[in-house]
Amino acid sequence: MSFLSSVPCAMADGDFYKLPDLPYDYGALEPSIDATTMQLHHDKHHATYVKKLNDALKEKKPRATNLADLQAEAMKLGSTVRNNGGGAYNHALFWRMMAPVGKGGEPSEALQKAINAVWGSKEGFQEAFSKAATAVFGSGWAWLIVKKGGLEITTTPNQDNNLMISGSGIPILGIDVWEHAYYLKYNNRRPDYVKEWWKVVNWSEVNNNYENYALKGIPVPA
Amino acid sequence: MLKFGVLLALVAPCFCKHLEPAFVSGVPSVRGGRPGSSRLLATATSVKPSVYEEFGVTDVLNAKPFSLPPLPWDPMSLGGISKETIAYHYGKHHATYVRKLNGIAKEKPEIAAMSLEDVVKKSDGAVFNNAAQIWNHNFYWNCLKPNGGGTPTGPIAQKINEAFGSFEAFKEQFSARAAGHFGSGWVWLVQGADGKLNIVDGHDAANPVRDGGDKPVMVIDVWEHAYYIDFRNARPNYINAFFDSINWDFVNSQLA
Repeated sequence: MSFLSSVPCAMADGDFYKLPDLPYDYGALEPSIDATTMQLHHDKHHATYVKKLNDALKEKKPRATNLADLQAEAMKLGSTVRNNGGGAYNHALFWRMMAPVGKGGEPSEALQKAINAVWGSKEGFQEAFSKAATAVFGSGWAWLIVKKGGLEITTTPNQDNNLMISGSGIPILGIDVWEHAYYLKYNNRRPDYVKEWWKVVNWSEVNNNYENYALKGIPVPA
Repeated sequence: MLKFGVLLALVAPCFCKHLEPAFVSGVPSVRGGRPGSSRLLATATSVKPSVYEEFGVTDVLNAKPFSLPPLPWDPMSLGGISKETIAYHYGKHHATYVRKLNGIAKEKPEIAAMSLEDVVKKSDGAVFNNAAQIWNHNFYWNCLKPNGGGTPTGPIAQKINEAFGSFEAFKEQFSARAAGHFGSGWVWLVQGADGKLNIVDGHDAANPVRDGGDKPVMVIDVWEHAYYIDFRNARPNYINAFFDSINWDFVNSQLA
């Protein structure tokens, strides 16, 4: 009985996590990201990560009760949880970190100040981030993270993220550079995808991730 | 040029033995490597020069010190894997690895002096990634052919039965490994030093040549660029198409 009382609602039907809806229509990020890619990416790839994670967590019982907190245990819970738990988290943030062209706003004063401290300017940051995103070999992500109060750019392989390694930073912005994220429209031209992706970055969300979570040492919720 | 002619004369007969007359393939073999280009000596008379022009790779076919090998078959005719996929996969991805390695070789003459195989065995980081991806793709194209597939015959059939019980069991296991590989990579059928077949996963550019020991016999590319145009996220459908196009003559030729 005491076990049941500590189980949050999400687990009542057996699933640890529910696939979030896209915050917009499939075509909302055109022309940067095409509708077909958005549909496949969310309805197939992201959905599969969620399903496989839920299946795996029927066997393995994590201490975490939400997906963000699960990341810190992911590497201990086996490769299925690591890969699919990471995939589920990364994509949950990814959709929200994007908005239709012209709707994403700009970095807040606080975030811009932090960016300038490292890269001199927004353009300097974008150049460094784009370079990192383009250089990822194989499948992975490029991230802007908050670490010890400062900003850094990192890349992670496969569906890993910095929350999986204690103390290695809290992601506030990320770009998926798995080929499925861009292949239908951009084929091998990842630099073009990265360049167009900047037009749909949702700075309002990034600002929120930064000020209300990362600066407080809290992972962005999924 | 004389060296190339001698090379061709020495190597061509060995590789011709199990292959169709349509092409000669000097596939990089685990044993022995020669300095200079990537050793693909195919004349590939079935592929018109216009195909390479269309793909924008004529320059890379003749590049030095590393070159893009000709395709062993006409991309119009290869089963479930479309010409469009080949145009990108061979014409962009594979060709770009060659261009990048040549760019590196320009800065590092010690790389320029090595065979592709040696670069794969001795390098790390970006040098390894590009060299290994060239090697892997060279090998992959030879594992495919138009109207290929079916149940194999010859020594490979016997070895498959010994290692897996039956071809069906092998296909099931290999397909499961290929479908289950997370992220980018390749799934290899290899022959161990004991002569037995085994299936190994390699992540990103990793291949058995690097560590020696296992001899590659067949490979499937499971980077998303290998199948996304034709099959989207449905990698198992791509794996079936791969099985329908396997060049079992080539696979037989790779056995020790």
